[in-house]
This record gives sequence, C-alpha cells and structure tokens, in this order.
Amino acid sequence: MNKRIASIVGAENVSDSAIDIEAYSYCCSERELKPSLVIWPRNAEQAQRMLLFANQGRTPVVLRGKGTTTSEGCIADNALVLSSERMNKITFVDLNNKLVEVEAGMSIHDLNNSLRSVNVMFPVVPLNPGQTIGGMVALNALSKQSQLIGRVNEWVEKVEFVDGTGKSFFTKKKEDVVGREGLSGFITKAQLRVVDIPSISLEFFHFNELTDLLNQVRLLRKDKEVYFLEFFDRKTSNEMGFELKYSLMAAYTSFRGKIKNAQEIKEWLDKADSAVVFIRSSGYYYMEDPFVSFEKAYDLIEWCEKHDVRLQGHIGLGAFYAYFQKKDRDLLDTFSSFLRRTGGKLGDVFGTGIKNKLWVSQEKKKEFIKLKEEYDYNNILNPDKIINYR
Amino acid sequence: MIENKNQTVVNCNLCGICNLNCPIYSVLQKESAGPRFKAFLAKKKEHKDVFWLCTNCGACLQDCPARIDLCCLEIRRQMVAAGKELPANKSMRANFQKFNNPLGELKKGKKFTKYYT
Ligand SMILES: Cc1cc2nc3c(=O)[nH]c(=O)nc-3n(C[C@H](O)[C@H](O)[C@H](O)COP(=O)(O)OP(=O)(O)OC[C@H]3O[C@@H](n4cnc5c(N)ncnc54)[C@H](O)[C@@H]3O)c2cc1C
Ligand code: SF4
Ligand code: SF4
Repeated sequence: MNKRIASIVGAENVSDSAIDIEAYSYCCSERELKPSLVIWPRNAEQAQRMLLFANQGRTPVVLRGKGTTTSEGCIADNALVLSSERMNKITFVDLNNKLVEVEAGMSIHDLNNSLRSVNVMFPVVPLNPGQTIGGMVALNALSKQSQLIGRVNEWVEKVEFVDGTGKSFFTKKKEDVVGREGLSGFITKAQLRVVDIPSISLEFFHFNELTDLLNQVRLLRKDKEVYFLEFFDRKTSNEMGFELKYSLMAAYTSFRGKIKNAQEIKEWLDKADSAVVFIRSSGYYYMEDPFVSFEKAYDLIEWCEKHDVRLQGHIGLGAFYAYFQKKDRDLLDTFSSFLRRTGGKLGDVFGTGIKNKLWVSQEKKKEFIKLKEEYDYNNILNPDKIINYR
Repeated sequence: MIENKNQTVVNCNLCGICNLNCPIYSVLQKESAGPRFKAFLAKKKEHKDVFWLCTNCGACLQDCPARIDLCCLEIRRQMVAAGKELPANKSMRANFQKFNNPLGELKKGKKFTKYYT
C-alpha cells in the first residue's frame, strides 16, 4: 500500500516510521490512538487520488489539520492520517471584493499575518492561533468576535473538498461540510470573506457582585455597538493586575469605550489574551468549553468558583473556557452532570469528535447519517467520530 | 531511561501552540519535527533522536501558554552521557577536539558529509 500511496503523493509525503506514527497519535487530549500511515498531500488532486484509492480498499482515513482539537476528532487507531499541513498557501486575493482563497492547512495566525500587509483580516480569530483554516471550517470555529459577526460559516463563500468516494467539489453548498468535522469530506481550500482591520475602542468593568456583572452584560448584549464581551473570573483578573473582582472587557465598534488609542488598545488586548497564560502557567491543565444560556451564566460562574475551576470567555455568547487542575480530573464528570442539569453542553466550540459524542442530539445524528449516505457511504472518513454509522 | 529533570513539562496539555513559530517545524512541516512532540516525549521521559532537531531558539517557550521550557540542550547533554548520540554530533565533537571547528579539516575542494535525523 505504501508504494501505491508514494506513487500518488511522492515518497517524501508519506511515512510509516515509528516516530511519525507516534507523533500523529495524539491531539490536545489525553487519549492516544496510533494510525498506520501518515500522508501529507500537496494539493487537491493528490488528496482526491488518495481518497479514491482509500475508498476502493475501504480503508479508514482520519483527517487532520494541526491537531489542536481537544475532542479527539483527528486521531484514530490503524487509520491513514490525511494531513493538510503541507497545503498551506494563499492561492487568490481579490481586495476589491474582499475575498481570499486559502489552502486548508494554513494556520489562522499565518493567514492574518500575511493579510495584515494589505490591511485586511479574517475576522474570526480564535484563542488558539495554530489552528488551520480547514480545521476551523470543519469545526465552524467560534471566537470572541462571533458575538457580532457570527461563526466561521458566515465568512465562508465557497469550499473545495473531496468526499469519501474521491469526488471533488468546489461549492457554495457549504452547509454540507462546514461544522461537519470531516465526516463528509476532506477540505482542501476555502474561499473566505475578509474585512478591513476594524477600529475599536475598549472599556473594562469590574464587579464585586455577580448579579451586577450580569446586569451589565444584559444591557451590553443588546447594544448594537458592542463588538465583543470577555469575562474573567476573580482570580484571573487579579493575576492580570486588577483587583480581586469579576472583570468584563467590552469592545465597541465606535469610539465610545474609554480606551481609544491604538497602541493602548493593542496592549489591553494582549493583556486579555494573556489570561490563558496566567491560568495555564499556574497549573490549570484540562480545558473544557462549556456553553450555557445567558440565564445560566450565574450558575456556571458560581459552580466554577466553588470548585476552584478557572473560567474566562465570551459571556455575551454564553461560550466559556473552563480550566481544571490536574489533581481535579475526577471533577470533569461532576462538571458534565452539572452542565446537563443546567441545559448547557460541551463540544460546541472544541468539537464532538470521540470525547463529546454523548452530547449529540438524535436530530443531529440523523443529519450526519444523511450526509454519510450522500458523501461517504462506505464510511471511510473519520469513521468513529460523532456517530456510529454502519 | 534517562531521568528528566524538567518537571514543568508535566503541565503540557499538548495544545500545539508552540509549533506555530518553530523554525524546524516550519521547514519540515510534520508533527514529529516540532516542539509539541518533544513535549509529548519529555512528559513520558522518552528521549529520542528528535531532541537533536532543535536550534534552541526559544520560540516555543515564548509562545507556550504554560511557559514550558523543553530544555532540549539539557536532554541532549543527558543523551550524550548515556551514549545516545547521533553520528553528526559525534563527528562534530571529534572535529572540535581535533581541528577547533565543527566541520573538520578545512581543505580546498573537501566535501562534507550531510546528516539528517
Ligand atoms: C488552547 C486552545 C484554544 C482553543 N480556542 C478555540 C477557539 O477560540 N475557538 C474554537 O473554535 N476552537 C478553539 N480551540 C479548539 C481547536 O483549536 C479547534 O477545534 C480548531 O478548529 C482545530 O483546528 P486544527 O487545524 O487543529 O484541526 P484538528 O485538531 O487537526 O482537527 C479537528 C477536527 O477537524 C477535522 N479536520 C481538520 N482538518 C480538516 C480538513 N482539512 N478537512 C476536513 N476535516 C478536517 C478533523 O478530522 C477533526 O475532526 C482551541 C483549542 C485549544 C487547545
Ligand atoms: S505550547 Fe506549551 S502546553 Fe502547548 S503543546 Fe507546546 S509545550 Fe505543551
Ligand atoms: S527551541 Fe527548538 S523546538 Fe523550540 S521553537 Fe526553537 S527550534 Fe523549535
């Protein structure tokens, strides 16, 4: 098989060495699953020929970007890994229509770094700068900006992908592949809408009482000038240099916020981004992505505080990041039960993969089965993820 | 097995952010060449040849949210002490001792051996 695959992608783009197999056995979780072979196609045509070949032999294939997911979606035992890492070019820029075409393996960090020279950016900027455009499209990524501008799907014009039978598409029917975690196809390229780098202003609010914080958020959520709202728990705020109070960072699309100077704004945004550094470097290890309705935000914040779980996040959206210490591993199950009771969920941001399978509704499962029937009836793509099909 | 003194690596949760600006990962474009894989191995105290794939530039430490220092140099020192050395390193050390430079005797037209891990 190795020889045949080498004839498709070139010998330097396939490996079954013990070291590569081990390096593709993990993502950002504790589970390790060892693949049989790692393949780095260089272009869509190679990916297409690879999937045609895999489908002929009914060989399972796990799709992978940079492997930053926490939900075990990009690892599998005895499967071929199809990695987008070596497909990482911007292939087309149309500044008049604010469109770019980018290969799936480019990271959001590299994309926005390149676009900065022409004063535009892709506006959904997630916490982990390493994630690939393919991974972001596959998971319909969310970021703090999503409060105003929505998730990645709102910014994808067209997607190029290869399905589980080796058929290629370059389509506007993006809903069949965006947010589908690679169950319907391997994304090779995306046509994205970009924006001028926005001018914003900032303001920080600090509260002793949780109810006061939530009242402020209630007001700001309805405000059309609010770009995003970031919440920091008391300990994190304190480590960031504020008093031991709940903090709220509000970004406005107007100059209404007290912080208006571009350099100052950059420094404050960097400070907000450093929250994760304060949390992670003080020993918080596991990371979860609780999603709750606004009405339940009080319960979530209170629960986390009681159990010494750090919390930050996009409070206007109800999407948070919760950090647990290593010694508190057992607390993760208690946390899941708590979230179920509040009607919240896990995996809405970090994906379902294997780890969050229990959070998938019957309705969603039916949608995925339909997609499998249309695009991958032999179920070779990410076979044990989200649903148990065939 | 070599004892790894770098205790902070146990706090690595494999987020992968350190791969972002690693010059070795950028060139070789595969997970096994990047700092996250080194952290994965160091956590298990498995010191393999990939620890030689590092310029010691420190970009991974700078980017890491948990501020984990992979201590590649220290790991390499321990590997040498345990006799787990690559041919390239061996010949470089011998050249230093004999000729005061890493490449060996400098003669016009002399070809140098290329080493890859
Ligand atoms: C510290 C940290 C912060 C994070 N912050 C955010 C955040 O702010 N917002 C957010 O949305 N997520 C966040 N994540 C989660 C994660 O980074 C995202 O899920 C990301 O989109 C995964 O991208 P990736 O390239 O690493 O994909 P992988 O981890 O390699 O894969 C993720 C899933 O996508 C599929 N996939 C990958 N590439 C392709 C492709 N080309 N075609 C089809 N399917 C593919 C895989 O099969 C897998 O199911 C964070 C994770 C960490 C560790
Ligand atoms: S950035 Fe730090 S925590 Fe993340 S994988 Fe690298 S060493 Fe580990
Ligand atoms: S110190 Fe080594 S592993 Fe870290 S970024 Fe530099 S070359 Fe890569």
